[in-house]
Amino acid sequence: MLRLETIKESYGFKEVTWEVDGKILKTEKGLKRLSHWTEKDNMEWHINWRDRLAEKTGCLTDRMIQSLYGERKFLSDVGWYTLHDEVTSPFSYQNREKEMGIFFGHYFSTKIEDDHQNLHIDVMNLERMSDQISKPSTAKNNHSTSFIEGLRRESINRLLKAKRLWKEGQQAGGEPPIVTPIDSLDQGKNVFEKLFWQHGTGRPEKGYRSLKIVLSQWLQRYGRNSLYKLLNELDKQLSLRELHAKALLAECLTPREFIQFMNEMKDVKDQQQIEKCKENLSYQWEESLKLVKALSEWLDLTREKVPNP
Amino acid sequence: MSIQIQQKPVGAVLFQYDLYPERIETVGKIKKIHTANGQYALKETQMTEEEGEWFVHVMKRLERINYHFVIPIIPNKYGDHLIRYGKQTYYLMPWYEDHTEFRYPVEQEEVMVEEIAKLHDLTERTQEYSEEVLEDSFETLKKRWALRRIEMERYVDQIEGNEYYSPFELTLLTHFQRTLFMANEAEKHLTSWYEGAKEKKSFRSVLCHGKPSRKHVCFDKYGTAYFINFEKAVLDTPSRDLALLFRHYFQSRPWDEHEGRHWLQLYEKQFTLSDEERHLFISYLAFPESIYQTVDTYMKKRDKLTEFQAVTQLERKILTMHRVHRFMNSVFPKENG
Repeated sequence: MLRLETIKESYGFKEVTWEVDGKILKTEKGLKRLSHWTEKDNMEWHINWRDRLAEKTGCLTDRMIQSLYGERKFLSDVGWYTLHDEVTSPFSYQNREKEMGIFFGHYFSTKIEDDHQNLHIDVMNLERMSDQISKPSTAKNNHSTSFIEGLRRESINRLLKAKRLWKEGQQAGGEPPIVTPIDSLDQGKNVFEKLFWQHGTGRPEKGYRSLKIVLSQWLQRYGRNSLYKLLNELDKQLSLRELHAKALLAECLTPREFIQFMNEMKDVKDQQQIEKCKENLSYQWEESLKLVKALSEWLDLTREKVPNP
Repeated sequence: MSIQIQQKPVGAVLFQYDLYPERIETVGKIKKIHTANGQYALKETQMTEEEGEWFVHVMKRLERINYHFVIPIIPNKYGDHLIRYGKQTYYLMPWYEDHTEFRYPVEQEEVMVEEIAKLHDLTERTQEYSEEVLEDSFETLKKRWALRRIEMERYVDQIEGNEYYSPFELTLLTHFQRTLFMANEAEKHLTSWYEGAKEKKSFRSVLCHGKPSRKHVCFDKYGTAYFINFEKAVLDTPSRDLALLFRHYFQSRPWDEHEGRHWLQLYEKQFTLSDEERHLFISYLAFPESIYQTVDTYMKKRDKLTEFQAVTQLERKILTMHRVHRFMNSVFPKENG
């Protein structure tokens, strides 16, 4: 159990109370968040990676606050903890394509020299996905069966294309990024007009899933022209078109939303839940296709700029 | 957060120190931050990554060697000593009030020269001897001085052709031969340093503050001086820092050769200069660069200075040159007697 007195003493707070039990602290230095880590290697990786990202971008990267004794972590009966700022004001990305292109460019190219051999890094596994979607639907409802089967066939096609593009992408020589997973653009918070990027505690992830989420949500929120400006900047930072475009397209084609849907369907109890899952899947499916289309067009446009020999 | 901060970069920087200002005041290049828990000095500057690393290294080294006459920098909540925001770099220090009146009689110049000597003493290192490096330093400075001399001689030739001289030109022409004499003396002392170091096959380096002056020092009420702004700190000969400090004294207050000798003696009580270092120190002081700089300013900014201001400046520098000459003769009486 975490003792408030210990935290107060270690970090030199004068006043500390729980804002949310076990998670958020209210102090005279503002709200602070506790992150719990089950794997020490994962935590060490996060500390080093966030430090490096802050150094490269100059942005606030949700780094671990140092105790009075210069420690960035502390051990309790239930594992390791780190202390962070809790920032709630959302960051506005509007008309900030260049700035954010630079930030994400660094985000997806930051590497750390690390020797955490025990650290498990999540890697996209296309074969495992093939297995997951090859099993026919067990839905009893006829209407759902045809819906699911239709999308399953399309998912298999998407996955086949993804595999081909992934292989071609590997030949291009772009090393897939290893990053802390991103789930939403809402992770961007505002501290006096400066970006504060809030991280989770997930294991590092190798691949393009997080980049796809960034681009897809950017397209939804700010439209195609804004996305192209962001991509142009990312291209300068990452050599996106030359090194990563095919692998990124492969990620966008990967039917993750269908796999997630199938998993959700295992636990649904009534028709209302089934309909909600279907609706969600249809929306995500459409958004994936919109992103693939926008990305392909951007690639064509940038290709046109290269004069023929 | 309920604080009102007009300057957003400063707000984002102070966030990294968990500082909640009640008021921010601009004092020169420093922002004075008033908080419920005390006052802080936030310095905004520009540094490359390399310069930043060196600066932090210097500050940590001063702490390690227990050099107390420095205002420390406070790391932020992540343990960083510098914060970068766009092209700017920031660092935070506790606020030290600078006193000009003290509980006991205090001669500020004396305190500063003693503390600089302590810094040099604590950081002294004998450099691995390299004739190439020595020769390179000697030749570079000699060439630079020769070039400056030629530039000035050209300018003087040009004004000598004028039918009428401006008061500034007349003052310069009157004293120009003296500046040439001092430039020759500077070169002689430089050569003595070079020959001496070559013979000894060694030279020392110390950590030089790089910009020692009254404005980079805060005095407490007891007369102890605390240096700030080690941004230009460099490993170099002690003669360099000492000459910079003396030049600063010469510009900031009236002095004579006896006082100059006294300051040098105070310095050497803590850190004795070798003969060749003393030659180098005198050569730095003797070369009439500050007069040449006044001429440069007169040439380039004629419209921004009144003739009266320009002449006053030049006369002040000439007076200093004469004093340096007397000081030089008192340091090396036989050679210059």
